[in-house]
Amino acid sequence: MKHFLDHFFESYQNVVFVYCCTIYSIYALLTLFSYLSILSNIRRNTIRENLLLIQSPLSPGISIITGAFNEEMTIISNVRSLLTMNYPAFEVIIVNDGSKDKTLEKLIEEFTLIEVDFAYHYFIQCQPIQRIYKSENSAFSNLLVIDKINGGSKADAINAGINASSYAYFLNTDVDCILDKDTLVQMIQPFMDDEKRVIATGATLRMANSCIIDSSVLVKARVPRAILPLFQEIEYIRSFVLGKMGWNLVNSIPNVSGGLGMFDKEIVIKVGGYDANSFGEDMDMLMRISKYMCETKQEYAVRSIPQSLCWTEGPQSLKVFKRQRVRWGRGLYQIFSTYYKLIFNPKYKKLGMIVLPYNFIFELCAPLIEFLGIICYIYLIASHLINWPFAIILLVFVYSFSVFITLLSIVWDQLVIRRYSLKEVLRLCVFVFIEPFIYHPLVMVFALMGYTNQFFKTKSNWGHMERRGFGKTEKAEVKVINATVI
Amino acid sequence: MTSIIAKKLAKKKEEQRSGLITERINEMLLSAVVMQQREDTGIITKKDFDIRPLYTLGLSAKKVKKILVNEMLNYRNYFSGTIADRVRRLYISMSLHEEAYARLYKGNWEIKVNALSELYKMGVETDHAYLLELLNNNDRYIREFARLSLMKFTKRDPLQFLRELNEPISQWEEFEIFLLFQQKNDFTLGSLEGLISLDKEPTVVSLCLQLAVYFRQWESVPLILELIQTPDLKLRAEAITALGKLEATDSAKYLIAIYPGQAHVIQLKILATLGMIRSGSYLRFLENEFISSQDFEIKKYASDAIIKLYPLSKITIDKLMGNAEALNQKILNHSLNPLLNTL
Repeated sequence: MKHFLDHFFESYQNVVFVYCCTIYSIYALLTLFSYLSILSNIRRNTIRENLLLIQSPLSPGISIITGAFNEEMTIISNVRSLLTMNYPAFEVIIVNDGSKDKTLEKLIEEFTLIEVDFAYHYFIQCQPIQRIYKSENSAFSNLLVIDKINGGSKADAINAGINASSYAYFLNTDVDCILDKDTLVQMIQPFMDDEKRVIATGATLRMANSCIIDSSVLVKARVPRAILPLFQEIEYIRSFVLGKMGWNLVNSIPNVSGGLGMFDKEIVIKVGGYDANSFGEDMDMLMRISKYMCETKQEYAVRSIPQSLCWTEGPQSLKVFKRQRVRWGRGLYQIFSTYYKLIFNPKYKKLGMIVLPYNFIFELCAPLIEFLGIICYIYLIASHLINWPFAIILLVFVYSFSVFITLLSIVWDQLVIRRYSLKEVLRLCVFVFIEPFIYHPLVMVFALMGYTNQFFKTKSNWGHMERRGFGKTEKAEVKVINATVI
Repeated sequence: MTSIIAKKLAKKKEEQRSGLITERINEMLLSAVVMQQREDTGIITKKDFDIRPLYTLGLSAKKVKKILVNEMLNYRNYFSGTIADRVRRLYISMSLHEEAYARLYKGNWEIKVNALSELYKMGVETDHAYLLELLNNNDRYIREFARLSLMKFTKRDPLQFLRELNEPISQWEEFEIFLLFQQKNDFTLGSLEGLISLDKEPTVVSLCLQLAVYFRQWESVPLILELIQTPDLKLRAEAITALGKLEATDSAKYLIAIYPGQAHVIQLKILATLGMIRSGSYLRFLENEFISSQDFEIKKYASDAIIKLYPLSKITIDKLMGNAEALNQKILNHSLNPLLNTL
């Protein structure tokens, strides 16, 4: 047995080495791709003036759909903020997902809502609709409030909103997210300007913790003060600015965040809407619409833009963070148990040959390989079999490369827009050096817990979220009690 | 890390300087073009608008001019009429257009496309022959701005460039061309024959349908009717909608004749179009679809069309409301509710 273990772990070192080399080669390539993609976006923005979309009578309408569950603290200022988007034709659909607090009452009172006899049709499945409201005040004529039975997931609420939406494109966001006023103009641009049919667009999300927010409008972006949201901010910059923008160049984006994504409604309805039972409903949606486009032999594109357009509260306590990441882990595992047949299937083009294989090998398997790597090191140290020079070189290489890549993603982010002061950028950079020791192991452990829960089908729900709210006070600093689950 | 700090510091300093210069330029533009009471706008000269003192504020002359041009473009975006024209004259009198011409002949696509876009937005005519040459450029943005410039400055038949076009145009370009024709007051839209055609690139046809509707070009109706035979469902739907927007009464009979054999999405468009045409002659057909169809969307579109035909449809609405089963009643109530039909 010992001989077998010795041999296994010694060989495993080589596996880790090859794995690291491959993933870092891909990261290096993504860094280059994201740079090119960002440059192309900056160049295009110097030519394309968003004013055209605001002036043109041909601009397509957009439905902003968001679910609300027990959001009485923030709902009014958030809806008001959504209603002031800079775009000529849009509607705001708020789906009250069976709130137990006064979310609906507050909406009715603030926006002078009255119940309307709406001919609602279930194009896609969702929990039953109880009532639908419209405002008597013409200033809020583009607001629609749907009151439905709680479906236990955001996906169900969004499906309810899609059924009632009037326009061909919809923006899926969280009601507590702070959106830039130009979100619609910026996100519809790829749909209007791409040579292929764009089916979804995403943009960069940031942490709202510590930002100065006044009546749901971002006054000043600031790097989170608390350590956990700060690490998430770093992770988001790496993921959105470097990862997604890199994949954007080769049209292989794996996911459009549930916090902010614009979709072609026709395709979403054709695939049956969001899966209310999925723990990773945002990635699942992208998989399904991409799969549909491949199966119907239609050329398509999924795009990402580097501009930060959405600020969301990141989990500040370890308990909430764990719940979020365990759910993400379950979601990822669920995706691959559903779509495994597409991996390396040439019929699905880039989805089958790049997106799914990459995400299987380097996203789903990464925590497993890493965990096994740690066990391997412990075993080799204990058995005095470790090749110290090799191990140290490998560790130093892995650490410095990951720090370097993250630092580059911060530089790329600065190319797009400079919202932070120099002091804040430096603070971010300092924490990049600490991240691999504190934050990364947490993410790995919680992902593994998510896989285990999904494997054993442990019962779980989305978790209850409480918010203090930041719309009541002038220039109040965002403070999170229990943060949002993105 | 060092590069971030260095870049941040340099950028901050530059931003402070350009902010100050932008402010000064804005003050100068306000007094020269907005506050100017004189109608004779030709007298704003380089001498009257001296930007040389701004060169001492820490940015190069090239960057100061760039800020000036950007501000001028902003003025052209937000003002029309006399003010926009004054900005254009000032731009020319300061010979900024010559600098843009020079950049136009440079190799780099980005410089070229920016110069083209600047001249186009400033309303300054560019060398016609060179623009024709750019129509074959490899870069889509250059081709697009060359096309736009040619259409902007051609008075006789600006549509000829669309006739010669064989590549798809993006929706963005469609918006640009549409806006151009909306704002162009020195021409009349010629015949769309050969443009609204089955042989033409669908994106170009789609644009021409929008133009036909905007310019109320009823003589295009026979062309649009022919287009309905296209196998492209999206284009067919657009053609039917265009008939509705043109209120082409004579086309209703044809639309009803082809209705049974059409795809669901086209049937919906036909129902909506019958509502827009408002002749009222086909109320019975709409009523029948509303009552007999089992499809929710067909019922909804038929109901919307019936309501749109009010007051011609008053009797039909009363009859339907009196006899309708629960779902039909709900659909009619929805269509009748003004709060639900505001978008």
